[in-house]
Amino acid sequence: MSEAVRRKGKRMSGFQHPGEDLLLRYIDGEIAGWKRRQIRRHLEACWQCRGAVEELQQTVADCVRYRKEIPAYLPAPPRAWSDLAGEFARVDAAMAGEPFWKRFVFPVLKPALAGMAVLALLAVVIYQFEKAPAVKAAVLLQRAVVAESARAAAPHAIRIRTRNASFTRATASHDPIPAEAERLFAEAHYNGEDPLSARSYMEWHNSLESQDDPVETVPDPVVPSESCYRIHTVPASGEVSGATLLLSTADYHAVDGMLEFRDRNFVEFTELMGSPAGGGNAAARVESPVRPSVPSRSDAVVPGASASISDQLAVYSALHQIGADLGGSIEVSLASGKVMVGGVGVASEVQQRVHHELDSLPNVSIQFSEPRAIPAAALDNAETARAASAAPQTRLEDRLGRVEFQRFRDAVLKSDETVMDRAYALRTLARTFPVEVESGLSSSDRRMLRDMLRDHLSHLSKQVSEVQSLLQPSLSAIGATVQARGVAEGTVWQSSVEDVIRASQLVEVRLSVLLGVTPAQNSTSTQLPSDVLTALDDLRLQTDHCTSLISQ
Amino acid sequence: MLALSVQLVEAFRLDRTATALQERVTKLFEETRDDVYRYLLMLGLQPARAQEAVQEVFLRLYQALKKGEDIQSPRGWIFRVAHNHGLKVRARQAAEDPFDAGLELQLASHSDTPERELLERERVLEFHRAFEGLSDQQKRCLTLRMEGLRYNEIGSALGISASAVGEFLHRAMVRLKKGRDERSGKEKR
Repeated sequence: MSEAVRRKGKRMSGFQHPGEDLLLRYIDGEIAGWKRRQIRRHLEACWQCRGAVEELQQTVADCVRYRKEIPAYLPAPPRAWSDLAGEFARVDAAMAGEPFWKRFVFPVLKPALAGMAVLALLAVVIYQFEKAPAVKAAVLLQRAVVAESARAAAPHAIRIRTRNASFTRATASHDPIPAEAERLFAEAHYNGEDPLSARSYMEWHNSLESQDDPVETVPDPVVPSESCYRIHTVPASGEVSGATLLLSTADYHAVDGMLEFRDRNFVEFTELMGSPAGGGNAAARVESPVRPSVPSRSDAVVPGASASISDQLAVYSALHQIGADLGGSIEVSLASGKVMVGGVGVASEVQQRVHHELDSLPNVSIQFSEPRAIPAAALDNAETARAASAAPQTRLEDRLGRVEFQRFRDAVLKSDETVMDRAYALRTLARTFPVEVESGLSSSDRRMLRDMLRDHLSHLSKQVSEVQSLLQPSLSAIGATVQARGVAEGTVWQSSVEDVIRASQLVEVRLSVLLGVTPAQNSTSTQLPSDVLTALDDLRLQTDHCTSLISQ
Repeated sequence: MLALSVQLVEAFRLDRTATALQERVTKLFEETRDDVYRYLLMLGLQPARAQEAVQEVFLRLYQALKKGEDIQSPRGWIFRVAHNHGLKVRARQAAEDPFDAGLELQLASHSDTPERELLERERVLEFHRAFEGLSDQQKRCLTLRMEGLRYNEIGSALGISASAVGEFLHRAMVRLKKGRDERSGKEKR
């Protein structure tokens, strides 16, 4: 099993290998119930995955050994641990030292205040009920389950639709269903045998660790004069990004449902009006009218729809997972209703990984091209420029010696390159998701975007520190100092990223002049080492500022 | 008289409750203080400040329990508060005297030890380098996981979701595993 396949988890030889991330959660006891049993059964059968688990366990063992060994190298507490008993008394005294009136008056008023609080709460609840029938999803589902149990179990047909398949079957049927739908239901821990039922939805709903599920009343999609409760559940974690169930307000029966997945897949189950059960044949074609699906959000992926900004974000996220969003060699744009992914001169193994990640995403077009040969004269000119720019580096070279200087220069330039990669990746996101676009994203998409930004900024910050620590000793030794400067205070992360870019470009230009990679445009050689340190410090401050804006 | 008796009984009950609480916190302090101290050092606190911060965390725990806060996982709570308090202390400390545990130097020194011990130290040093190569968030997630916290507790301490914790841990493990593969490749050569 290839590394990439193991990490992501792909269907091979007719069964599903869990991804390495899932295996880690499994051995960490972070997966419960049905899915845990499914993985355990898979591990019993699959040597490859058992091998992957063993490798993870070895890394876990390394961590445990490290944790055990490391205290020997850390400084011991400077003093003996003090007894907390005396400190408890101090805390008690501080807690008892509340204002006199509070101690005296509060016990007397406490029952009255509590009574007033209850009255206020009641008033709010009554107001809410009068204003809108704000029914809780859990309560609604409970009622629907009771109603479902009381109804005669007359099977009827439903249509199940995924990205690549559409079929009909009877409700609560045990007939096999296409593999894709089966996999999606399994991933969601959702009862695929009877998807369009309040009970199945409630069981899934109750298994979530935490979720947000507003309920609203909407017109029935088929009979607009009637209405439905629309429950939309957004789980805080897991494979499912959102789920929707429509329940008739008249009798609570489920008429339509949909599960949407974080990888843009979906499975939709819709009641077929006036249709007999159809024998549960997955291949049967039923001509009865179908209730139109009710997407959970305006930019949700539906078949046939053109690419949205949400699709573009999914592409960025997939590229980010494999580090292909760095280096600026891969471009992503929205054009002709598709997310266009391309690049010139991209290494073939990177191309393969990109295809591997993106081929399964909808509305994505990938096209790479090879670079044109660079004329020899241009290369000659570059060499000339390099030779002409030698002057500012002389002092450093004299100080370090030629071989050491070259090593030093390579290390600094390599670190600076990684800084620029991160900075450009940030700029791409800032320009693709300006404030107005970001505000239109769903909360899960926004979270995905912010996670990516945080990850880039965290790496950037570390890499800037790395360049600083490489340069500081040598440049300080030749008299360089950091000049105090103000930081541009962008108020949104998008403008702050532009400040980060400006600062990193300045670092790049000054560094390349200092290290003799490009010729100096004007005579700044005496000030240059200080300018480099100052530019680096500016970049660090800008990065910190941007990070604080992302965290808001 | 009856009122006085009731007050005495109530005072006795409260006293017994307070004593039980203090014993509970003291026990937790003795069991966990070294782990929290190490975590705060890794977070970048000076040893003296880390030690003070540890004490502060446990006093806050006592205060919270005394106020009736329902703490389901004291260990998770302790590390969450230690993390947040540690960051504040570190921010104050950064301007005055930044701390570097200097682990690499310490690990790299001592060449006069028996060969086996030297190899072991070399292994820890290699792992330490790989660990230092992780992103800050990956390091924090991994360190807290090593301390036995669950994903949701780590998420709560760091202000991120449990699924993000899973992702950070996964990426960290991939990088550490890659480091180990490279090391074993070198050893074989």
